[in-house]
Amino acid sequence: MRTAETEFVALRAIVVRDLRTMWRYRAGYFGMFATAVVLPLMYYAQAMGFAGTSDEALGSFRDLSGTDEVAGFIYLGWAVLMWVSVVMYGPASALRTERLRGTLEAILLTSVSRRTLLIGSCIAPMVPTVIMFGIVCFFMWGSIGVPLTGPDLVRLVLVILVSTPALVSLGMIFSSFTMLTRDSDGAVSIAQAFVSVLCGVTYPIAVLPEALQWISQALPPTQTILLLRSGTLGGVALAEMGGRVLYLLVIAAVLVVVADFALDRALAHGRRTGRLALH
Amino acid sequence: MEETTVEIAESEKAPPRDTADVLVVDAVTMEYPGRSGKGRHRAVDELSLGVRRGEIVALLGRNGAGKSTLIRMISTITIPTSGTVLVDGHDAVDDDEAARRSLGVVLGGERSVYWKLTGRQNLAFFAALRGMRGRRRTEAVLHALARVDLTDRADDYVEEYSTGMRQRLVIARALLGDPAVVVLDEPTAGLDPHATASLQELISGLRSAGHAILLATHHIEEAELIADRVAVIDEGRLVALDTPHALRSSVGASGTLTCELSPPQGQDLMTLIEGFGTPLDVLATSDGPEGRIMATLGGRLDDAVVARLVTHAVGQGWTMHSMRAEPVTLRHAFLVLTGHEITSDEPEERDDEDS
Repeated sequence: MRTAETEFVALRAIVVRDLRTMWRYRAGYFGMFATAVVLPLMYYAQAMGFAGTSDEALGSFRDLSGTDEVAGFIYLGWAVLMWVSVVMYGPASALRTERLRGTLEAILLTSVSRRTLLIGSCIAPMVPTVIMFGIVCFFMWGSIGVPLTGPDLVRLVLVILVSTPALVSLGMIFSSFTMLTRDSDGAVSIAQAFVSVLCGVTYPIAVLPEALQWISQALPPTQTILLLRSGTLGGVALAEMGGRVLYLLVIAAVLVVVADFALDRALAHGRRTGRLALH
Repeated sequence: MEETTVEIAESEKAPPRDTADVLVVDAVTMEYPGRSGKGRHRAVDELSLGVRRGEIVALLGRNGAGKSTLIRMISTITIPTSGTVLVDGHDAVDDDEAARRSLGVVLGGERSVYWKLTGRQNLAFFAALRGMRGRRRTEAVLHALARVDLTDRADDYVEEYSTGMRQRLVIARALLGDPAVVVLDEPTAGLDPHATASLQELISGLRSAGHAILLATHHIEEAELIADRVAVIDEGRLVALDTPHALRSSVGASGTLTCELSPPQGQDLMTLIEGFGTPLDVLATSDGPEGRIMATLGGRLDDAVVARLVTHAVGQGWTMHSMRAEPVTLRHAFLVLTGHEITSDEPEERDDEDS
């Protein structure tokens, strides 16, 4: 019989499996870390090239974003984008990943909860992502001169923890969608486009049309990015960010219920139509 | 032609076994929704069968016959449109979790294990997913490895295994927790003859250990060799379920003649056969190149039948290109039961119209 203990054992096994597999491919993570440092430089260079570094340009940026740390602004947005890729797109494409490996049906033949499978799929990848966060912060502090203090880093960790339930739930909803459509690539591409355009990854959301700003503000990745920036670059205490934190927790509670319902329906549909293992 | 049969004493076949079915498939049907403009596709149609402990039932059918769909319904991956599947008394739909615990399924072949992990790590992972932990998991893994003779290679990466070894690992995974029912979907597909024989011996050993085994295959020789009973499936329906010996006997012939011949103007095969002294049944015919007829004939044949038939056919103006006499095999029974050959070059099994 499935119990919390058996689910925890299964979750741990999934994480161990993924960590072992990632270790076999460890060379690839150097590329990931390099990308996390080098790619945002492109956006930083763009920003400097288009707007310049005059006091007027920086002042205009400060009015829109709340900070004049352009590099830090871009790097933190980019780091959150990579974080979202792990905790949100991970569950969305977990079943497809197993299908491509050839192991999906073998997994479905066990008694482990499908929720455990999806949640477990994003835990191990958090390890290199956390390392990536560390590298980005070190780079920002050491090379670009973005002032980061100990309390800033603590706030960073807390924001990431607070944002995770909402993002994982969104990932599970995506997973349900991919089960129905059997096309995780399409779902992930659409989600990536939304996040890239609407969540202020590399520019202040204030530059978006007002109607889109409302949508942007409602998205958990946007709130995560805003929290991270205000907490580290803006030096705002976590208690003062209570409104956004509360929003993330409340939306997480709603999304968990929606994700649970969507996953149940998708699994039942997949079993009834014989398409559960087809991606 | 003399028919040779070897009677095997019941006591030599298998240890005394429980006659109750451990796996019960009762009138299951699977209908897939069709694409727009097309009707629904019935992949399995009112199929019933049972498998007892210490028995191997082979599911024999062409690609697309419904074997894999049936396997997936038994495995709880798919819910039947109607009908019931009971695995060791547990309903595969309403109590799927319990059903899965009593099931070991060999599905997906060598790709269904993680090549970047070792054999032991693979089994430990799947054992954990089955709810095993601590010493119980360790012992289950060791036991499964020993049963498939992979203990010596347990700590090597699966990517270093041969195809036969990977398939044995897949079987080891199915044996975790010592399930009552073991279901194998084409376990010897893609293996060389030596690996195939080794795996068949392993599967036979599972029968001796008391598992109820359902083996899906389109290799008739495999079914004939190791199965206690053979379920012939065609277009989603169960056509016959009996021992290989009984199915061969159902052909009603002691031997078969496979011929390739060209008719003279205005004559057909039935005319030729009706004029022949020995009664012959046409088991199968097909058109060959250049107007030739490829035919399989069955009957109570004696040693001189080939020569007599050649003489008769030539005397009637036929050209005999080739003729081969052989005992009745399960292949001929399949032919008679379904009306077509089971060949290995059929297209990929597509139980779902949209897949």
